[in-house]
Amino acid sequence: MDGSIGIPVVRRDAAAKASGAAQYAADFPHAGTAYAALVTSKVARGRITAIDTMAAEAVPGVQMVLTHHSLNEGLGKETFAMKGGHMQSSFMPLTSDEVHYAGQIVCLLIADTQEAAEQAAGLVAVEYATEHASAAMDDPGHEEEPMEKKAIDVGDALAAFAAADVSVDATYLTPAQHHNPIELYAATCAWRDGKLLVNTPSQWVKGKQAALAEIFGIPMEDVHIESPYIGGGFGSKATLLAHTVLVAMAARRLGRPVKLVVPREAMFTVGSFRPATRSRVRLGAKKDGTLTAVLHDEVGQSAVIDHVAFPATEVTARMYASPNIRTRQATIATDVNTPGFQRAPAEAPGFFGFESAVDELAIKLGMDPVELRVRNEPERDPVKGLAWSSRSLVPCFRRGAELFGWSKRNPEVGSMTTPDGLLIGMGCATATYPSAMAPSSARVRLSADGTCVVYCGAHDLGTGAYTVLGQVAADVLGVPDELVRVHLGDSTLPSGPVAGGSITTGSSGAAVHMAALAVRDRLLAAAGDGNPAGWSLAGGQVIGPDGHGRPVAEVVGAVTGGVIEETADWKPDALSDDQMRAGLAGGMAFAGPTTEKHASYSFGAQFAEVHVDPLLRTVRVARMVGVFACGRIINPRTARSNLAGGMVWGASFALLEESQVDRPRARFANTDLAGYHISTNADIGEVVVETIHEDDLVVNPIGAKAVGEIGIVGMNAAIANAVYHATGTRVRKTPILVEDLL
Amino acid sequence: MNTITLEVNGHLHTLAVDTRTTLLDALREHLGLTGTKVGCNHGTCGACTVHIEGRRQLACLTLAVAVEGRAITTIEGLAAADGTPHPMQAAFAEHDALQCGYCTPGQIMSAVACVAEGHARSDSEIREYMSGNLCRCGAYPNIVAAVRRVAEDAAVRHVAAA
Ligand code: FES
Ligand code: FES
Repeated sequence: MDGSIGIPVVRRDAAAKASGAAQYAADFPHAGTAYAALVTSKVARGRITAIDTMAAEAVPGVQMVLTHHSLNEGLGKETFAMKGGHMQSSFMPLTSDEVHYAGQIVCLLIADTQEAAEQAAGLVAVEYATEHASAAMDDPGHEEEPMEKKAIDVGDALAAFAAADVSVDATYLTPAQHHNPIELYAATCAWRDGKLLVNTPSQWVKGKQAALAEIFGIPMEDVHIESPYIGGGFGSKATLLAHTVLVAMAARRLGRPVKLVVPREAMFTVGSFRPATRSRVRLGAKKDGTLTAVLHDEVGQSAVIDHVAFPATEVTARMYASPNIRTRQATIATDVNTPGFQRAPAEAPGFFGFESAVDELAIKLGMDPVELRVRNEPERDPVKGLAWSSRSLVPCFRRGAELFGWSKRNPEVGSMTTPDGLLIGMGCATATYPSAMAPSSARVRLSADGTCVVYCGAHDLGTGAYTVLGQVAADVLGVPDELVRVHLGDSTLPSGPVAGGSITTGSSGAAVHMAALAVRDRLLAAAGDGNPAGWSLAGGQVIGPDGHGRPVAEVVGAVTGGVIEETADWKPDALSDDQMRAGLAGGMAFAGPTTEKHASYSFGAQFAEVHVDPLLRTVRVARMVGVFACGRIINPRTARSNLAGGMVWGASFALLEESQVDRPRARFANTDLAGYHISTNADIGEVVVETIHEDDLVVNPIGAKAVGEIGIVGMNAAIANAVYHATGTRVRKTPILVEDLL
Repeated sequence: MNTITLEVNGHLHTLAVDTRTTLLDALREHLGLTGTKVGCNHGTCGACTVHIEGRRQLACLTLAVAVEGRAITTIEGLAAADGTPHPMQAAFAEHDALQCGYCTPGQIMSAVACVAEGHARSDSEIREYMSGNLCRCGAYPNIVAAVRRVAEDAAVRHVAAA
């Protein structure tokens, strides 16, 4: 069937996944594998004063016990991703007696069987000299560290706010959260002839390859990261986690493959998490709803060991037209594992407060919340005056309102009920996500058997990359879908960017497009005996100047070798050649979302209907509607699933998710899927997703803007706004729990 | 170590396992049947769902030595002998009821049992009886659609046969 851009072809990897044949990191067999288990710190801060591993070593089958006494190896020059390296943290466990957070790895055990390794782990006795620690940013005694460079000032927002006809000033809280992909972190490391093979779920094969090469002092070609399938990443599997390095070190010393599957409980501390935030939002408006002042002060939880920040204010400042804008950003350092990227890292928490405040303003103004947003639609980026590469927020709201049945909403609080007496609440919010781009390479091969193969070191986390990157090539070369093959998730492939920031389709898609065009040019030249003039491609045929066609396969077959293959390196315009080379070598090189001339964002309108039990105060999400404008949609089927999945995350964010902190012990308390609640099937009602087409050739040559993360943004606020509409209670924190509505 | 014989997907396998070896580890680490996934190892996610004598069960909470002599079916054993996917596998692909695919084998094993149990008579019943299988990608609406589709087709076949 036609597999070109815009066709909802079935996910290319669906059959492999539904049959159980798709191999994830822990599914690759390696002969002679030894199994690893972890011991993690029970205290949050201090020093290890004694570690007794004798009993552990005596367990039959135990091969190796690694502690800070026996490791004697470190990261060398490799470091934290935000300091120019690829690691999740600049702190490396087992390199000293220091303890910086609860759940830090303090011992790694290797045995012939999983059972023996776990038994031995239970026998390691650790003593600590404990120091005071805090894992919550609202514990007493913390000081905010302002980030002056992130401040945005347009006009005089404080004065305009003071003089506003109508205003809102409120503070909103979001908690720490964890990604909790269903696939556990895992690493199998095998050395052969001085070369390292690693099976680990990876959103960044090139980055992990570069990091391990640096750590072990071997050429990049001698490190092979194999990760064709990732069982959910959401940002957690991008940077290199310390346990992977430890497993590689152990495997080298033992001379046999070592496999570690991280237990769910340890997932909360051996990787990263979404840090807590506090947002103070002040909005001022004229009586007709025209915004006169937008102020957003956000404080984010950071770590003592690494400074990290995910500033939402860079995005909220650009959301609505206002002559006066003021944002401030700060962090608070806590004794936790280094926080990291989690699906819409800045936007999902930041928009909870910001879009709740917009709803509060609408209520004060007595205005429809959709109309308030439409009234303040900015023609240009309100911060720098840049042109939007495309912005269809108003059409999203219009279409969303129609799909949702917004006109049937009675704005009066508590005025709507279901036939069985539940309170109905309806709310809406804006979604947005930056469309950044990164350099990418890709190779496209057309063979005489008619197949077209795409090779790219990009990643499919369930996002649809296997499907859409093939469609980009099929679109150029007219190859039917069943003859397209796509290879991703392997460091031996042409370099792809980190699967983060919703950049894969745009960036690697642009590279595939470029390589496919080069293949087409060679094909036409081959058909015309070196002169492509007058030759074209249509319906699987190469058409000559005389109008006669020859099958593509026949033309390719006549080429020496029987294949036409081209590799392309694509670079966003805003990056230099040096930046591109650094990016393709495993660095992080991002362009946008704002460049000298343009601001590129995806936009969307979120609507939610909740049902609240008038007595029990339980909240259920009956319906969610999202309409999004993300440029050109390469595959409506996979894009819709991705967007809907984001909306499910939004519902989960609003009502369920919180990594609870045991304050006296400064550790995460609910570290399993029984205690850390994510949406189940029964929590999710109807989900409706539509997209609005946009022609945006500014953002990249295929016109694809960000899809992967926008679905979550704003949905938490839409649900909070719906809860207010049902109950009259404004909950300014997540998750919104029964006790908040009593 | 215990030597046991397990009947998996109609084949007998003799293997030496620790008394503590779970069925999940026996399948994945001893028999190389890695289609059954591990998401928590303590009964909270459903990724390890298999059938034992046709009933859905969590392989991570089942000791391998305890299921000797019982018919075990995993995702690898669901397709027809000629390789034709089970209707539930086909429906998952058709309805895009999977994203990362990691929860999918467990979802499909649960879904097949859900229909067989007669617990797929409405969308809300499907949601309820499929809630032991977490999907972090949030593919729930499409999972419900796939299960509904198979349940409806089964009902049609049932009527036609009567
Ligand atoms: S692995 Fe068995 S329920 Fe999670
Ligand atoms: S498809 Fe990813 S967890 Fe369900």
